[in-house]
Amino acid sequence: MNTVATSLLVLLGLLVGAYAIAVLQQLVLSGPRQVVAAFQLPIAQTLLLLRQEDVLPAGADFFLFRSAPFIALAVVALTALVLPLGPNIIGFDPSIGLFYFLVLLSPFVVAMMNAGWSQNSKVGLFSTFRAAAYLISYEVPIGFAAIGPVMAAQSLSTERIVQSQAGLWYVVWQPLGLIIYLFAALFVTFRHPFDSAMAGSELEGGVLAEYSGPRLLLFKVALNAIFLLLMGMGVVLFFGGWQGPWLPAPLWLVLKTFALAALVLWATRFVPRLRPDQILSLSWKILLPASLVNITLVGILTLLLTGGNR
Amino acid sequence: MSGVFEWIMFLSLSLVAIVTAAGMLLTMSMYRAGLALMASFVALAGLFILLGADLLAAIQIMMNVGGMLVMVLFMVMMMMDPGGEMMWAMKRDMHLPGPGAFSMHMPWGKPAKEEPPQQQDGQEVEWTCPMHPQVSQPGPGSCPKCGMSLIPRAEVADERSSHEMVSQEQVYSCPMHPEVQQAQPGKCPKCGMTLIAVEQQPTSHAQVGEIATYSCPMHPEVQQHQPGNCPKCGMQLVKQEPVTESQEVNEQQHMAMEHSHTAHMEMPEDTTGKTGHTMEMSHEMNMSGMTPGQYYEMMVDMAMSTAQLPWAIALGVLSAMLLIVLVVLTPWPLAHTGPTQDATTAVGELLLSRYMIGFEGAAFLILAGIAGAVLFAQRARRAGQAQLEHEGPVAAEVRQSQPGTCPKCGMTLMSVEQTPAAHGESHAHGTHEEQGDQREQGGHV
Repeated sequence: MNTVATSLLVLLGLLVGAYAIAVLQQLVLSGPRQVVAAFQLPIAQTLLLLRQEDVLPAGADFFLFRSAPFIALAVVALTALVLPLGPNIIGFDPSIGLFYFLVLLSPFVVAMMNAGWSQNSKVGLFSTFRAAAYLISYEVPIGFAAIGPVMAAQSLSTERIVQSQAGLWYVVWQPLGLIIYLFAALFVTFRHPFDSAMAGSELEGGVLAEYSGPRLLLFKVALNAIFLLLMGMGVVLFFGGWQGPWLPAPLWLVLKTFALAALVLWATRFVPRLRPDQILSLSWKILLPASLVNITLVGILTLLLTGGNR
Repeated sequence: MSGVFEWIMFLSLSLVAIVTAAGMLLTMSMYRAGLALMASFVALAGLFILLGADLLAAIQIMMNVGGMLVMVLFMVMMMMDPGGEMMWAMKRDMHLPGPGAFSMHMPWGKPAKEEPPQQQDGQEVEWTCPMHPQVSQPGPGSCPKCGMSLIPRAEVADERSSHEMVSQEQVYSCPMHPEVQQAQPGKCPKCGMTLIAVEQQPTSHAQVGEIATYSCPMHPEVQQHQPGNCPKCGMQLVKQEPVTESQEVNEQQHMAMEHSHTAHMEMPEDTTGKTGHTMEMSHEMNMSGMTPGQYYEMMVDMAMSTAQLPWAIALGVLSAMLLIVLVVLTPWPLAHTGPTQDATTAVGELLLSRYMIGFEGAAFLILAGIAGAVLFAQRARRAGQAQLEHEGPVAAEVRQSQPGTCPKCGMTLMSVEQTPAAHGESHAHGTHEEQGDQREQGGHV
């Protein structure tokens, strides 16, 4: 009973969160004068996609094409379980929560790869190559960036990481880690500067080129939700999670998450879309060495701050 | 979590793990094989979670799904036939028996229709078995002896007569390396595949080859015995090797062989077409005078295309048996430890004894496979040792060992592989520039 309630709540939260991210994106992109339109547009698009014809491309892979959106959404729902909304408000609290979160991101990208592969088109195949290349190149930076808070908190449990930031948020002394984390998060979520796997006009939508109707809607929900989740995990790792004065804990987490998401969406407006090779060299030549530097710095600072006797 | 729920989870996860593992072995698509392996690993991770080993499950997913397998998929997608369409079409067109369940939903094309037999001058066409010529009946059907589909007699007669005509010239050639030709059946010296019988095209040898001719690089039809300029474009004529004629003959032969024997393979981009008829296997392929045994060997070759397969299978079976024996003979460490022992020690003991053997064995298998592959690859490289030469793209007689520009026309020289022709070891890569190809072919006549 408890399990069913949790999963329903998670799904509901993800739907609302995806809607909120869509609204936020509209607000950030289209400026302050179109507030009402920003709230209406996602609903209109949802209705449109629900009524749209569900086209199956000729020769598409029977199983992979149909299963890819569900795999994507299922993976997102599973990762959502370990995000702590407040003290003891968490779907599933294994001792390795953060590790679990990072690990489950790769099946999400695999689902995107399947979507591109299965549609029996050149565009989809090319974007599958890109998605696979990103998967290889995001995993290492995001893991190393997340090691910083783990070293400081000396735990992989997401709740413990939040509790250990009661005095000082990790962003204060691990800003490099935050930046690397945000870059890698944009990689995973196929967001704007790194979205050439779904490049709009260049590859006709990339991995989602042949999707339409409800399946496309599922993909859009999953993409928005995983962006929200990565921002939420960023808040948990670097901005003290649910901690804050006066307001209830979950509200603090939500506020911080949306603030971070808005900041990221706003900042990426000013960056042109990167080519695949630029993305890969950014990942391997800059982010990877930087994350190693970050780990070294965090290690030294942890020793200095805690006196090495924790 | 109640006991019933755990049982249901355990059974379904085990089922998924086993079924997807079987699917990995049976599917013809490398991409699907990778995905099936991933699914199997994920199901194993689910079993780990049921056992309460969260960390192990997470590591399982991260290492196998996130790291290794995605890279494998990435590499697989670069390959020639990642979707398995070619192999599937080959299986379909040759009516191979075998599991078709996991090549499900490959493109739904049917084998290319063979042309209906032409009724020649109203005379009755007899149908006969390609293997048993004594079988004959008035209509199509299947052979009462071997069950093969009957074919019209006229076709067989054609084939037989052509066989007889050139029976002296029948050679055995590799399906992959058409330049390999020998009089006896055997294995290809390059790739180890079984040679298949090929009829040499009866060729009309024009006896002009002995004298050196001069021809225009742009207009090959201009040929004369004196040097000079081309009457059409005014370019300086180029002296041609006396071997030209036989080169042409060989090229014809080569093309004919390719037409009738090797599959019409297209690049993966094109396999995404609707019908997926990328393979057009002309039906002479399975009837070109091969015995069923040769045919079977060729099919084994086509499926794996390595001669090392039996060795690999033997090595794998041996190692697996050794592994099983070791695991069975190792004393079960928990049998004589009391329930009071703390969990870490128990897990450590487990890891260090029985499970460790399993892990080490798996690692050994992988290492042995890699070492074998490297060894065999090196041997193959040594066998096919070829040196690069550089050749003018237009003036073919310009050859040198360093790159540079052609002294005649100033064009950049192209690299071609030059091999000692006497040993019959030249490579004919599909990517070769045609002229270079021709020259190499010429060396064998």
